[in-house]
Amino acid sequence: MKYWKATLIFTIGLLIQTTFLNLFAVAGHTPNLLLALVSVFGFIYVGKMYGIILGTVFGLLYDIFYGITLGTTAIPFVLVGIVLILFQHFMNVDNIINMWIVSVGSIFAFYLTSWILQVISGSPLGFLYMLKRIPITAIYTMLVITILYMILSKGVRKRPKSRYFR
Amino acid sequence: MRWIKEHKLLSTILSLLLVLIIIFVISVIRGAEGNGFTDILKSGETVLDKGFTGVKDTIHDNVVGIFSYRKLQGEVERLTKENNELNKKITEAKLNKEELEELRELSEILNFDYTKKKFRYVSADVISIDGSNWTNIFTIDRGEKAGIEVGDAVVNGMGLVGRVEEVGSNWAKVISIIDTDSKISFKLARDRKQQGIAMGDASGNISGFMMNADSTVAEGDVLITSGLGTYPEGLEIGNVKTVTYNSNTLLKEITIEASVNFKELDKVAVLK
Repeated sequence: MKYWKATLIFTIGLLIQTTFLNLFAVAGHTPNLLLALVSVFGFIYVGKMYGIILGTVFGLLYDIFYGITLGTTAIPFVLVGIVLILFQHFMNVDNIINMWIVSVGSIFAFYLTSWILQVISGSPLGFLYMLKRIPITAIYTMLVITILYMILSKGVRKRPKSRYFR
Repeated sequence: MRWIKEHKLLSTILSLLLVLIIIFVISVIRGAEGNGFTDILKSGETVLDKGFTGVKDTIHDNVVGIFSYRKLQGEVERLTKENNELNKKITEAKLNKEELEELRELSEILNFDYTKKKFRYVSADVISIDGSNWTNIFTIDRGEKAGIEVGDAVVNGMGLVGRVEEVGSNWAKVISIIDTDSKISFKLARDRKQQGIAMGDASGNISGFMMNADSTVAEGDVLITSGLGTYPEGLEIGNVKTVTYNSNTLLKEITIEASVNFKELDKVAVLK
């Protein structure tokens, strides 16, 4: 996928996150669409840096538009992007189960880092409170990741690390 | 330098992370203060969000209308009945109005200014809501040009919504009262001597405590702002849901159900 297409998808994702997704809130929880996009793009496009680059740009935009402290979304996205690049070497990107395993890790890594940064910036959010809020959001985000993976993985070359494609 | 040349990718990622950490540190030190660049970005985003919110509202209104026809029919009947009752009350109020005007004249003569405090309202549309699940921040489509300033109280027809945290030329970020960063000094509407502090817990509820352990606060009590701190006096916050006595802190702790339905927030007014 070309960068402009990926950027367009992330832009639409950012706008949907803050407008449409509130219509589908379950018990006050909405899926984290940007995190889902960072996870899927970062995992399935081997050799590209979509997760890190677009995660940084859109994380910063999200912080400017909706946050109070800059970096509380962008830094966790970069960390998730790094983790995904590392996992690409050990996992088969064509297998959805691997995507799920990586997604769980990236969701928890994102929220844990985000919580640490929020606490540093003076937020009174408690650790147990954060843990209590994560499960429903994680399940919901996993659902979105699965849908995105099924759509986007169709356009990705199968078995990119296979010797037959070299 | 040699290490950097040998590990270009890793160096780039680490540099990026370092830049972001510097931005974060500066942002923590400076607080929620914006600048010209962020204002331009936010203004552009406000235009896009307005379009998306318009489409969302149209879809929402139509879909909800189809699936809740019976509910809406019941609502119309209830509103018709309420309208009739209100018409009766208007007639009664007209009679009281004359008495009130007489009292106002009297208060002016006596130089008594308690009833004089009036607010100027700036109405605004909610164009986007933070989707982080932790914070409860939303953006409205009015800013400095409309005279909005940081710290202004935001209300809607039901009661207190929050306060303005950051403001740009044609947008403003509002922190709702259910956010964990929000603290409100309140008092009971029925007995204004009984005061307390409330704070949001992001799950749509507000919890708090009464200043006096002997307080007679009870379930269903209406809470209003006390006028101490950020918010002006007399704005409705919500109803007391539960009251418990904490023997460790020796305080009466309460949970509050906010008057405002934050899930369906579309229009607000900023108090000036």
